[in-house]
Amino acid sequence: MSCSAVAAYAEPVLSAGATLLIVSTSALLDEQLRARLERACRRSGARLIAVAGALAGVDALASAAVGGLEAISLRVAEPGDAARAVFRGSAFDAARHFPDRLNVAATTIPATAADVGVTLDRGQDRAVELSACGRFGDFTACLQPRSDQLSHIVALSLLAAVRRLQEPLQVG
Amino acid sequence: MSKAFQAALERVRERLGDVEPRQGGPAPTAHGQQAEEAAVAHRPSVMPRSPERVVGLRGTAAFPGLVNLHVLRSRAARRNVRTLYERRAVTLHVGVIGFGAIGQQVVQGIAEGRAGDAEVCAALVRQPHARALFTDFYAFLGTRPDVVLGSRGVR
Repeated sequence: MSCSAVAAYAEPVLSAGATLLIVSTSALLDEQLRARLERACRRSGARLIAVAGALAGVDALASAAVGGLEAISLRVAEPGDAARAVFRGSAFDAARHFPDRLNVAATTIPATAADVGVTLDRGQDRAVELSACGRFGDFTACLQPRSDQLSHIVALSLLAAVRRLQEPLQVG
Repeated sequence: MSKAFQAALERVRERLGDVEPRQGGPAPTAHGQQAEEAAVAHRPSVMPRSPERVVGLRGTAAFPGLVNLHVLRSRAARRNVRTLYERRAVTLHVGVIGFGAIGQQVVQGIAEGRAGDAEVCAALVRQPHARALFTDFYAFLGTRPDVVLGSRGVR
């Protein structure tokens, strides 16, 4: 669901009591929309779940955020003719200016509630690399899709989320 | 198009024959009745103001979506007392918004059993290219999905 689709369809879906799994977390940067969706969830008992998609390590990031984080960085690389930096900035600006290409940046915002440095580079193999350090230590999670597209891992992420809804044992 | 994907589409088509509101079911409990009343009091904006009138319109071609909305109201009320986990013995009905690269892989994955006991009940698209694919959002919701997946753009 694109950001515009989330804005159009999410509220009726949640009001109907259905659990909604979304990929486009960029849409949740709109505070008013997010508040409306949360209200709809409380009213109907539905849940809104932002799946990890192509952002490996977001569960560890959320855990580390509880204890306090010192630095978080997200590097997104994509293929291109010439190597160059396309974007350097905060996760909020990244998701706002590149809602499709840097949608993963938006996922870090609710997970950490902290500023995340995001870079988008062209001219390299496609990769999404998340690094964080804090009192817990540090970690780096890097996703390098086998094909050029990230859609496969995003689809698997949605399937895993549906499976989790049915399982009594939750991991993560 | 792979066989698994065709099978997934076929299942969605079969589900389309079941879009009418389900009748009967278990009698409401006292707790369920309270939840029903609470849901009526906090009726979301998309719900009809007078469910009785909607029932009267059931089956008319002019207002097919309203019938679905009536179903959704009672469904939302039931969900207050029964979580998805408690209902796990029932196959999870999944609606997919968007049928691009991600949406198609999700439908195929569900057909292959990768999402547990789940089946696709509908997919919402912009251009209709199969009977199983809805272009009308409220008709899509009227298939009563337990879970809706927002895959990406509605294509």
